[in-house]
Amino acid sequence: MNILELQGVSKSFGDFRAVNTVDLQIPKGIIFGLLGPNGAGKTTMIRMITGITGPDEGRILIDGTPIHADHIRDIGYMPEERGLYKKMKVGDQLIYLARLKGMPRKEAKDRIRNWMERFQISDWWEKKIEELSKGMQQKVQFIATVLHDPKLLILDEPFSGLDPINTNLIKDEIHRMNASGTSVIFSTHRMEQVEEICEQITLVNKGKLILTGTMTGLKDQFKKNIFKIVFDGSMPSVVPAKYEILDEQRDWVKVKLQPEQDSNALLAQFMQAGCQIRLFQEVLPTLNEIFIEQVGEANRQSA
Amino acid sequence: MNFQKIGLIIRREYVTRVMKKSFILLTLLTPVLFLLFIVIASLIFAYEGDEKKIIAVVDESEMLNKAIPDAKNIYFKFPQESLEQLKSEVKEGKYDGVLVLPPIQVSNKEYVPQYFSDKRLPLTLDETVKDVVRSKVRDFKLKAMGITAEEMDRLDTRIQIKPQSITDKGENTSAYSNIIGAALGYIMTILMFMITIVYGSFVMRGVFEEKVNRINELIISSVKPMELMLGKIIGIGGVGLTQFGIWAILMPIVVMIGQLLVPGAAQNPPQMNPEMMNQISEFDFGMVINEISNQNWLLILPALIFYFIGGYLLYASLFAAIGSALGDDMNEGQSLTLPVMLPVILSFYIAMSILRSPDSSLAFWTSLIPFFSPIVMPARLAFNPPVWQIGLSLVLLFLGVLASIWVAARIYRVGILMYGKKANFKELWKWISYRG
Repeated sequence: MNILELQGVSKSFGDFRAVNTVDLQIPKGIIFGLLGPNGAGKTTMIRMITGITGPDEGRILIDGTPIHADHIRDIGYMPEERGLYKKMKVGDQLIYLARLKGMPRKEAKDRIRNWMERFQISDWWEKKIEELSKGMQQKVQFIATVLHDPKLLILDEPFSGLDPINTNLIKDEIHRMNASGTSVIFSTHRMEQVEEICEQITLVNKGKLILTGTMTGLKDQFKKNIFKIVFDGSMPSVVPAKYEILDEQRDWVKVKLQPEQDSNALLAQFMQAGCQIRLFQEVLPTLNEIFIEQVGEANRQSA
Repeated sequence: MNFQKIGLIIRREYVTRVMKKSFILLTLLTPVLFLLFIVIASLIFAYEGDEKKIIAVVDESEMLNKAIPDAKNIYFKFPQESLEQLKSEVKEGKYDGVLVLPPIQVSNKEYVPQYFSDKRLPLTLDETVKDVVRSKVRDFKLKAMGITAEEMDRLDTRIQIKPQSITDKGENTSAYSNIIGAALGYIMTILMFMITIVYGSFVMRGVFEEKVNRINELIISSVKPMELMLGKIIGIGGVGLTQFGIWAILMPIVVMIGQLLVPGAAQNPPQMNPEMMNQISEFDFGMVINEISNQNWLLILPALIFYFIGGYLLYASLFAAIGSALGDDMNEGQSLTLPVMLPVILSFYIAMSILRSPDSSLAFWTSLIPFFSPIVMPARLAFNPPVWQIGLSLVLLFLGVLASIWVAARIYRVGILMYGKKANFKELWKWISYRG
């Protein structure tokens, strides 16, 4: 079952095609990364998913049904451009936002108390937002996003402007909520953040999805047969003769294997030469590398 | 439309504003300041000046019989000395000046008495002296022509044109209709003008602040932009009603207190010239009350309420659209607010000119056009415009409100999510045409 499904979704602003016939399925219960450079169409996609704007063409299904007003309660959205009413008190503000989501006052109050206890900010109820520090405001912002216990959590650049402590706090909460069944969509242009969090990703560029898959699957697909060997001793002379060396230092070397070459045979060369192997590892491409390569390719094709 | 959510938004907009210290202060202080103004103004009006003038009169015309009644702060003396002696006595300070009245004939169209002094008479005293001399000259001429005061009185005829409508509407119009109508129209127009400008700007500022605080996207993921916009407009409208309601209660109290503090001063400022006094004494207070209660309030009041609501909604929604199109710097917004302010100001001037000719073709056409009608028509209401005109004007206003809310909502939904620079009119036009 998919928590979210886009079927041939397009959206234009005047002549500009921000999202171009996108098909996407996001399975329930995973952490999904929506990646792409600024201006790729991520925010427009998210705004369609959250019902802020409607698609020109195509359908969007949430949990199997086309989006309608009742889905507001199912989605928790933290926009990239975020803010709160500065003059309002923390408690009043959170109650207001929860009630806009359709939650009864009493239930909202109880949940807010729970969350404030969890974040150890129970004594802020009567404080105005403008009296809080930036980091404190971010905690309140996060509570506002998850307060109604959404099925689908959408976070647009959630860590931008966060200090390391809050970043970890929110990462932990994302994992905790995910473990209890919440699906998470994580939109960012910072690839390194995604690698450790997301199970599946899709790459967006110029309104199109150029790559979709699981993290391990994609790395496997784009790996280049590069191995790194860290060793004690001197490099056997057959290695430079038979293999393509990409980089080397006194105690390690990076080797690119040809399709017919075998990694075990490479390791054997070192062992036969009496080297002490400290580390033997396949070097997988980082998301960033895959991204740059793929976007570069897509741009070349369209040029 | 989710009315429960609109209700939540209205409540927040209303409560946060009404609970603000600045709102409470402004609402309560305005009548107090008004009271202060009344008291000070009446004291200033009531201040008659402490300059006493003693004026020596040399009557060469011999029409005065050595008798001019002492006017306010002016004492007239008729010493026997020659003009030259009197002049030196003025220098010594015995008199403030010498008034020389030259000989006069009945045929004189002009009469130029001379006043000798190094200090000129203050303006008000100058008027008083003129009045005294004028009435003496009049008496002199009447006597010379052999007309008695009684005959003179018979010459004066009070004219009042009594309007009588031809169609049998049973309208009980009186001579005061026009004055009362104009006064009521004037008050209504000012109210409408203030409401649109003041609370319209509140709406604009509110939209702008949400945009600058970057809270829109969070809210919009829970409610539709249209709901947010309407909630805001209605909530702020409620704040306006509250404020005016409080003032409507406090102002009469303040005026009463003012009259207690400065008895009579408020409604009877001195220094009025006799003609004005005359008019006012003819002004029959009972007739005024009668006239006001004779107004067709059953028609005027509901119509007024509709124009208040319609005018406010029309302009507030446009102000909301402008607020959403502003960039991060509100001061850049002048070029955007001007096109909305302009019709408001224009209709105010139209309304003012219409008070003099409430059935002119300018009045007719502008009270049909939705941009003008909320301000122009209230000015006409007290002049009994044809009912079909009010009806047509209200229908058109209703359509105008729908249209302006529609246009505003289309700009608003795009504008509130655009950050950075303010938009220009070309962009606004593009936003209107964007789909869903």
